[in-house]
Amino acid sequence: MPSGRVSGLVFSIAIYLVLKGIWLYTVSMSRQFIQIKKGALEFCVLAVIETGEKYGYEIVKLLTQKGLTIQEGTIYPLLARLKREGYVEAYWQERDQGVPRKYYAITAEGKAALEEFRVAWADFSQAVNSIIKEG
Amino acid sequence: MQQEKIIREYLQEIEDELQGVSRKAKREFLREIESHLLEEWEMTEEKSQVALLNMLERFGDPTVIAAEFQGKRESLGTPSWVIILLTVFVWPVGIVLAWLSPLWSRRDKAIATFIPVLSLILLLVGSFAVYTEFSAVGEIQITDTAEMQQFEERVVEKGSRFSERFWGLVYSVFLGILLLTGNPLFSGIYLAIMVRA
Repeated sequence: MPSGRVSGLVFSIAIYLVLKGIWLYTVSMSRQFIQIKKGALEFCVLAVIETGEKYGYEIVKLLTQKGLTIQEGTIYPLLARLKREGYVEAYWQERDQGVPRKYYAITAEGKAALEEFRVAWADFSQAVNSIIKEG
Repeated sequence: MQQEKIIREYLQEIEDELQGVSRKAKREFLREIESHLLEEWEMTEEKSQVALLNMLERFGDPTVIAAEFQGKRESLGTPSWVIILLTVFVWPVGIVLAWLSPLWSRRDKAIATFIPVLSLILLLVGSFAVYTEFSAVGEIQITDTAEMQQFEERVVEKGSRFSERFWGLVYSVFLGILLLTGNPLFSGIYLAIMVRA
């Protein structure tokens, strides 16, 4: 018959596997939350550009003013993504003084995507609000 | 200038993290970041080294920025689902491909690698504990009849200890198989969750 130590080993491994399962579940949940935040941020950036051509640093400042704090550097991969998706166009512009800036302008495709997101987000946030308020 | 050197080093760190990106795309991306950093630095009133380091801190971790940039790019290597399946079924091959792929950050690759390694260490430590429990038999010295009787009892006891040892080994092999098949599965699930969207 197996001794207490073997049962102890089985028990420890069972606990270990359960804890690992819980950890993976938590990682997955936080990952989903990050994805939602990331997705929403893309359209916030599009909305900022929709009001007129903007450059990266300017976009970061505008988002921060509106209370959306992000790591400044992550705006550039996001802008590159929007450009690849055809939602924005970009061009460099020289300045009389200082370094050149890369400006972004929204495309017709970007405008259409933003409109779609506005409708979807309104429905989604309304549903979430009614659930978290009323339970 | 010390400050220019710090910015250059920061940009170099991002560049080093950009794998599988064309030279043109890399240059364009870094040029834009440089433009931001130089402009923000121009606007900063306090031109101290601490202020510059804080500015770079706010800008973000070079590894994360590079990882984000590579995120949606087409992977040049094996598709993520192939790597995940290989990780589950042929762990060593899968994990090597995962390390070569830009689809995961270095941190996530390290975690996916560490999961089964940690389990193997746990298994080895556990098995060693079980083994030492079963192989602990004392020295035998016989001088009279009473001790002979004691020895006989110990032989019987040893027999039952052998049976325990056998069961211990069976359990260890069973747990080993469980961990060896279960852990690459966890490793694969982790990679599936963390693949860059």
